[in-house]
Amino acid sequence: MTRAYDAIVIGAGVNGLAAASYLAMAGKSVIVLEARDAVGGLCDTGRFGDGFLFSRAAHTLYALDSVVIKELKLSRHGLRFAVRDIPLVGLRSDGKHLLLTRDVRTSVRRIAHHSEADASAWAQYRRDWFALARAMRSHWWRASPEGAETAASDERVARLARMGAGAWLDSRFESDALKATLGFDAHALSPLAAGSALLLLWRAAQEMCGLQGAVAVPRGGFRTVADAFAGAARSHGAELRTGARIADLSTDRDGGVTGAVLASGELIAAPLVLSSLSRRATLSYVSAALGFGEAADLARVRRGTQMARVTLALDSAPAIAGSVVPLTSRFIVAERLESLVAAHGAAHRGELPQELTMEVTIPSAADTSLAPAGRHLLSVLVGPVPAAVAGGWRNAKPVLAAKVVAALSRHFTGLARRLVGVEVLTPDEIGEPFDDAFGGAVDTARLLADWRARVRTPISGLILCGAAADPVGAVSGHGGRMAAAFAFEEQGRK
Amino acid sequence: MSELRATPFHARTAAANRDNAWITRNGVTLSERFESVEPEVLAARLNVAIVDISWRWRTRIEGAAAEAFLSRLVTRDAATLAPGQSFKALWLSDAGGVRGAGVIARFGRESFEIVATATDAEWVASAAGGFDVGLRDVSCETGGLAVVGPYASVTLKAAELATDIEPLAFRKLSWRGLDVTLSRWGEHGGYEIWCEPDDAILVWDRLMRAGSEFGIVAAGVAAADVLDLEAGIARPTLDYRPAREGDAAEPAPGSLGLDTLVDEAHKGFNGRSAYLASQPPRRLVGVEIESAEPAPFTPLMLHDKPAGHTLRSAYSPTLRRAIALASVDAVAAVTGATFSLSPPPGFATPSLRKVAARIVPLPFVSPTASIGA
Repeated sequence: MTRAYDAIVIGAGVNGLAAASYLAMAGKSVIVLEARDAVGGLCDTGRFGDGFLFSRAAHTLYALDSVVIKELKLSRHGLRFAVRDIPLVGLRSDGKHLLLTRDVRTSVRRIAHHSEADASAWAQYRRDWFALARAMRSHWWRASPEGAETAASDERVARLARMGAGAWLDSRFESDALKATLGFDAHALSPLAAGSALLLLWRAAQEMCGLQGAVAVPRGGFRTVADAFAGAARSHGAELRTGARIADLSTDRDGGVTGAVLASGELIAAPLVLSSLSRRATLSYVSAALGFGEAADLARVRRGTQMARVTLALDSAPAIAGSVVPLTSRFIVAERLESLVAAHGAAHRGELPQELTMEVTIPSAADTSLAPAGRHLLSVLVGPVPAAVAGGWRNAKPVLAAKVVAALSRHFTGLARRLVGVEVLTPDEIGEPFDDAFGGAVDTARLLADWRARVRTPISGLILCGAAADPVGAVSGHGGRMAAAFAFEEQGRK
Repeated sequence: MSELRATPFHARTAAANRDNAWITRNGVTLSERFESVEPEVLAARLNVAIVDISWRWRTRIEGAAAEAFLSRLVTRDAATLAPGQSFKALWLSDAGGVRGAGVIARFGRESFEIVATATDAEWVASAAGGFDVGLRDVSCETGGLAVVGPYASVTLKAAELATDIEPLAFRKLSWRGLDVTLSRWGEHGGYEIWCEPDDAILVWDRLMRAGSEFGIVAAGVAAADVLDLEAGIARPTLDYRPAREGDAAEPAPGSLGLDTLVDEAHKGFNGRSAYLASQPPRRLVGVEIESAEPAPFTPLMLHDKPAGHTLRSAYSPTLRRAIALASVDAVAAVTGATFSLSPPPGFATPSLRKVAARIVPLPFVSPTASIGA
């Protein structure tokens, strides 16, 4: 028996659920097909032994679109924040940790330990940078009408597109501490790569809870974020089905999508299919209907560097050596910009970097419900690491965990002694369909392309709604919202 | 590109190449001319000439899906071909730009060959990835000689080779102990003989001997190019830069006069929807230049406004003036329309400045009727 819907959404991650919500809100019959047994995609909460709740993949929440939160009424569906804005800390081996908070005076004081010049440049930099980044939002995720003037045509943006993040930071600051701490956020590309400066701009354009450039911690872990989106989708009448793996997408002779075939053999018909998977994974289902050029592009191996996730469970509160910093911060471990450059070089060669660069948070410090009383979790984003490591990730996985613990032990005293659990998620486990969501496959062209070029595929009716629809993958909902906007625009044209 | 290759006829062409004038096509060393281009062209128009065409890019496509693959790759339906038949077709980029043009010949139920003047091996190989077919590059594996001119047919008869073969057909023959394939793929009303490399010298000598009483000459690549130009055929790399990116929309078949090689009713060829949607603003026309001086890639002005530009240009010994293919605005592409050539300062011959170029119907020269066939 064939069931028919107005639209199919592949993947019940945050973006897929957002897309489904918008379509359902407009009165469409929508089914969300999720291959796994639970919704949430990368916002997946795992458990350690006795009462640790940790996020397997998603690391920090910095891009959740405030428009999406409002339109989908996510707080009504249980979205809560434990902390709305955590400071940025650069962990330094000399113990003079950098602390960047929303309070400019605190930041300036801490920057001055490293450089007076950087301290005096900070306030102005932040103002200019945030203003330019804000102007880019309309280009990146505001579904502006065709031909609308956006900040992307700004000469300053064009200059950043030709510039590495390293060169950009070098032109503004002198201290390694500040440059490396800020530079980490461009981790999808080497700081030497042309256009990586745009990644910093993209990051600065993000807003959480009405605060630009903020990083928040969801209460109850990332699962509550996913559940809020799922609740919104259901409340508008979208049907959510888990354990439904796509085997194939069907197309008609004119090259338009007509539905999906599940691994069970069941056929679901719909003239509109929104996919949360990466562009490559999505198009692999319709490769026969693709042009030869597009198919050849897909076959080209592009994966170079990726990010890995490590979660450490501790039996007591972590202690940080050196100057005082709050535990509810995100900690950057990267001594210098060159550390990031070297890590990218190694990752491109398929090797684990000598000096790992990382971002660490302590979610249990912000939300005590995530760990048993007195115990804590360190959530670590490690990267860049090779997408495919020499000798395979199976062998490299324990090596990576050991290296992370060793590197963090320099800052977190007695870390190894306090360790009661380690969980590692390697790039091959994250998987290629999530490439975009985890910092792979980013290029400058995509950052500056019109939003339609990101969501559109050569197959009519097949639209990308996941991280691939975002300039850079993140837990945002931007992609889902824009894909739905594109679907309506296309339909209006017919 | 790998090392330069010679054709199986090299021993003979080298001996005849009195000017030591060589040229490379598809990585193959060839005689550009043997003595002088004009007599070689005129021989092909008035008598008979042989041209070494062993350098053509030839790819064999074999397998159960060969027909399906070619139907997807090229702009016409390979299912309409019976073994021993062929057609001319294009292959397009995703966005409908011309990547190549050539002959698609069916050798058997599951065996085809692409014969073209410019290689596009990478594209065909990557396109074939999704099909159950085997590809084999057979360029230069055989010797190929084109025999063109009004006396081509009688020359072959004098050499005791049967010539009862329709245009675009091909056939395997045993020719006085040699296994050859005779085809009629060319644009000049002639024949092509394909032979084993070891037999090449024999084939060359037999034809030269049989054709001697009809004034046979060997013609080089330059003369063959003039013949193609006179026939009004736009050639990849010579007249236009083929689309090389998968998403390149230029050049559109319509702008090169190649839309006759597209079967619009044939569904499913790569680039079809883009082709159907495209409305190229330019047309291919032929222009006669009021001068003996060729004017390649020169702007054409209509009432002092740019209206297009020439492509390849050469002196036509047959017409005794310079001719050129040209790409002009569709509204200006009317027979008889006269443009003025406007070579950029310091770029082309000053004598061409403000010379008139008039649109004439294509082909410039029709193949002369075969004599004694």
